Amino acid sequence: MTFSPRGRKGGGVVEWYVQRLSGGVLLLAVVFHFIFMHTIKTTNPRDLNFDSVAERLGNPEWVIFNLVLVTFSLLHAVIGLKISLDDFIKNRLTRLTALSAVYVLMAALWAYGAFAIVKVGVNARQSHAAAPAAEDGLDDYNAQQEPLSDDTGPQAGDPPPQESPEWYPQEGGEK
Amino acid sequence: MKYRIQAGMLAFYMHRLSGLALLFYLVLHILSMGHLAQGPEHFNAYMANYNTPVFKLAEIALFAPVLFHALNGLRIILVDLFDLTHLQKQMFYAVLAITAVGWLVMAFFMFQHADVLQQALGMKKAVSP
Repeated sequence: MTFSPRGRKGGGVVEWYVQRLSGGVLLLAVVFHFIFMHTIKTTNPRDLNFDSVAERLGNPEWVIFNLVLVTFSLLHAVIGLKISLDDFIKNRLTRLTALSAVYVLMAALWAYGAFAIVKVGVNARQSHAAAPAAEDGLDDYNAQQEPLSDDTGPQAGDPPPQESPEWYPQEGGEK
Repeated sequence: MKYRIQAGMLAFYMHRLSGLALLFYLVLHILSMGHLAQGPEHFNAYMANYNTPVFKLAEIALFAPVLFHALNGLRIILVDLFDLTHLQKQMFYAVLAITAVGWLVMAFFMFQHADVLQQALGMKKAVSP
């Protein structure tokens, strides 16, 4: 790499890195999320309702993806807001008060979002596990099918199977 | 004293403006999606309020700042990583162009799925769900 930023403690190098790292992750995640939700799933009620969301959140991959979305987006947003407020608010006390309020509110927002994701995901998995095997609507059809043969396999009480004749002479047998 | 707006200044302003707008949206989005934790009936009833033509238009409009902020951010990362300061202006124009084209394409697709919006514009008969 051609750059090697160094800075003093509190100089903003950590924020500089974090913004770019979280930005890179979000570039892929948010654009995918947007396109997915508006073209594949749509925001019409027939497509976006509790069940469609819960169905996806029943999978750990979707839970992790959504947690990544909420965490990195709030992180990126808070640092961006910090940089903006640092530029806009000149008075030291006002600035620190505003920033403190922002941090607290954003942390609460993160907790609210992460909790909802995990709660729906856990509930979806529990109800999926508790429910009988997937209803595919074919139970009646399957029950109607004739068995292919009348052979129901070996039953208790059948005579033991006889030794089948040897197809090939054993080694060392008659030539 | 007035400064002549140059490409770099414009990029900076647009990036910050889109970022703050997206932050505002993000807060609303997390607050509304958090209603998922309150169960199916509540969530579906709550989300039905968002099924209006104005809201669908706003959703389509949202993609523009998302795309711009993402692409301009990518430009910033690339300029930092690969020392491309001499190409900043061209890259910014490319960002603007890709944002415009990408947004139009996405708007087209989103419009296809926005039944309520199409009905409001008289393009689709209302169908019972």
